[in-house]
Amino acid sequence: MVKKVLNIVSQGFRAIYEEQDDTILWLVHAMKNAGSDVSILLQGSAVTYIDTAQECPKLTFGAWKQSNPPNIIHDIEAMITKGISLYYVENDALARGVPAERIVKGVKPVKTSEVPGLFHKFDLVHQW
Amino acid sequence: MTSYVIVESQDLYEASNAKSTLELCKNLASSGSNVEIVFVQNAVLGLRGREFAGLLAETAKSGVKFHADLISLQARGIRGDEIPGFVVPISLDLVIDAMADGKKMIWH
Amino acid sequence: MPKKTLTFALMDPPFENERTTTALRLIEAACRKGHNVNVFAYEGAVFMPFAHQKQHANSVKGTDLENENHPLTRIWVAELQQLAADKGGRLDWVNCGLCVDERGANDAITGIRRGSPADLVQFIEGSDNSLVIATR
Repeated sequence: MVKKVLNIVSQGFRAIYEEQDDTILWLVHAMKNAGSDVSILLQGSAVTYIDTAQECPKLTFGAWKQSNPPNIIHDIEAMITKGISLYYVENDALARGVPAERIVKGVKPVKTSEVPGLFHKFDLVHQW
Repeated sequence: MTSYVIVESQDLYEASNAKSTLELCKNLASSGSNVEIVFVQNAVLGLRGREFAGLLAETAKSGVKFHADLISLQARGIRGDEIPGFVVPISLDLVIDAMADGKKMIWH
Repeated sequence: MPKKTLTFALMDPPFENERTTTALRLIEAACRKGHNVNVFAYEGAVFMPFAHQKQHANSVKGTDLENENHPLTRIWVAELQQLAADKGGRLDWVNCGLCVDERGANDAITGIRRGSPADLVQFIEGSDNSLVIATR
C-alpha cells in the first residue's frame, strides 16, 4: 500500500525566478509521476500561489531574456489534472487579502481549525 | 539632513522582526531624518489586506515615504488599487539612484 | 547622474532564495546606469558565478532544453559584466576565497576574482555607497 503523504508548502516565491517554478511543488509533482500518493497544503505566503492575477514578468540581464518565466497557476492546474489534491489555509488567504473570486478552481479551502483533521487523513506529513 | 532607504524583503506576516523595521523607520523619521522604505519580495504581501493597514498608515503619517517593487507586486497578483494610496509602485532603479545619491542603505 | 561606484555584499547561494534574483536585478540597474559595481560574494553567494552550472530540460513541465531555457546565475553574472562594459562601467566581482575552498566552488566564470575580507574593505573604502544583502 502506497503511503499517503501531505506536503506542506509555506514559503512562497522562494526561488521561483531562477527555477521558473516552485521547487517543492515541482518535487511533489515529480513524486506523483513516480507513483507516490501525494497531496499539498499551501499555507503562509504560499497561499498567494492560488491567486489567478499573479503574473511573473520576464526578466532581462543584458542580452539574456527570460522566455519561460514561472507560471504557478499553470503548474497548480497541471497538478490538479494529474490527480493531486491541493488545499489552502483559508485564514491565511483571507489575512493576505487574496480575493475569493480570483482563487484558482479546484483548490480546496481548509480552516486553521480543520488542519489537524486533514493531517489525520494522511500517513505522513512533510513540512517543507 | 541624513536620508535613509530601508529595503524590507521579509513577509510581515511571518518574520517576527519585520514589524520592527516599521518602528525603526518611524524612529528615524522622528529623529529628523528623511526615510524611505522599499517593499520587495514577500514584504509586499503585507501591503494588501487589513492586518497591517493601521501600522503602515501610522508609519506613513510619521513622514516615511513608501515604495513597492512593481515586479514583486505583479508576481503576487497584487494590483495598484489593492494597496494603500501612499505606497508608490516603483522599479528597482529607485534603489540604485538612492545609493548613487549617497543615502544610507539598509536591507532587512 | 554622474558615474558612481557602488558596492554590494551578497551571501545567498543561487536557486534557493528570491534574494539572489533581487540582488542581481539591483546590480543590473546599476550596470545599466553606467555605474561601477563591486560585488563581494560571501558564503553561498560564491556559487553564483560557478562555471559548471548547466541548463536542463524539465520533464514535469514537458519542456526540452531549449524551451525550458533555464536561468543560470553564471550567465546572468556574465551578462552583467558585459552590460557594465557596454555602458562604460565595470563589474568587479570578488569571491571570498575561504568560502570557495569550503564549498569547492573554485571554477568561476572569467573575470571573477578570488579575494578576502580585505577586498571588501577596499571596496567599501573606494565606493560612494554600499548595500549588504544578508542571508535571513
